[in-house]
Amino acid sequence: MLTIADKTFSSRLFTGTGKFSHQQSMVDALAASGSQLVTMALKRVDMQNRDDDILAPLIANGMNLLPNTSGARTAKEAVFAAQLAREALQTNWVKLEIHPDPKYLLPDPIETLKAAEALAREGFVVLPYVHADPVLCKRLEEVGCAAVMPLGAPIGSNKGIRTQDFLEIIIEQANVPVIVDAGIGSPSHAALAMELGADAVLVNTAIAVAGNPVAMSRAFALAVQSGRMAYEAGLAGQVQQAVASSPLTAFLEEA
Amino acid sequence: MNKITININGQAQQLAPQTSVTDLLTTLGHAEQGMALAVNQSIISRSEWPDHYLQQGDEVSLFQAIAGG
Repeated sequence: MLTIADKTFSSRLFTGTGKFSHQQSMVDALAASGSQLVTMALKRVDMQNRDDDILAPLIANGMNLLPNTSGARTAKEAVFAAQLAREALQTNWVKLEIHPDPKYLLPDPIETLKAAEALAREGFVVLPYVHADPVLCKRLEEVGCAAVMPLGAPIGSNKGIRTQDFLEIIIEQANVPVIVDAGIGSPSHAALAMELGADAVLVNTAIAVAGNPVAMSRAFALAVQSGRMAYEAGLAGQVQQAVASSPLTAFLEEA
Repeated sequence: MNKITININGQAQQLAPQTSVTDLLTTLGHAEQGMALAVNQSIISRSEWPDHYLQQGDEVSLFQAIAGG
């Protein structure tokens, strides 16, 4: 079981709700994933065109909601977004994400630390999306973040765990849960993150845009379970040279 | 009865005097769930919606939870 702040999760696969082709596909895929924590975004209401109400089916399925601050480019904007999200979704949990540059959507570490400190002081359960920076992750922990969410690769890139060496340091040093977020493009990427000792992964694009999102959700759920099981079992170490698995006896040689 | 005019997300809207935030959302056809709102850049918490009356010239920002990662 994974505990973050006041909540306990039996599934270590967290999911995003974005990019699904239609709402029913999202609802079915999230149900198949077994995920108990799903992210949502906030937008200014378009007075001309109505957005789908995706909230009702998520609540009906008993999901915990994790609003993000996507769209915020500064700490000040992120704090305002978090306060709005708290009202909209009636939760003090927030995925803090501040990415000023739309090309790579990389998180701004300075603004993120400032906002995390302010939000933690206001009683928010802050889960910051950050680069895989071990020093920053410690600083975020010190200002009161409930977990850290370092990236594997840029958001939506599906490139996998490109930050492995740094994730390993973060996991080694963290006293709060580490959730690998962003870049996880296939179940094997998720399994790798879990084998490294991540406490959870957050997957969105790889499920939402899969040919069959429901089947892909199941594949991710199994990969996350498998990776976690392997981590808990204790992986065998790596060496450069061969180490025989069979006894090297000379029984085929002529006597 | 005189109407008041407010601005919602950049769009002018006429309302009866003594319209609360709750009344406004009903008028617009929005469920309360998933909505957040600021009046003149101050967030109004949901518990205050029934008793917060909109004033002539108010700038209302209305936000909604949507799909996202």
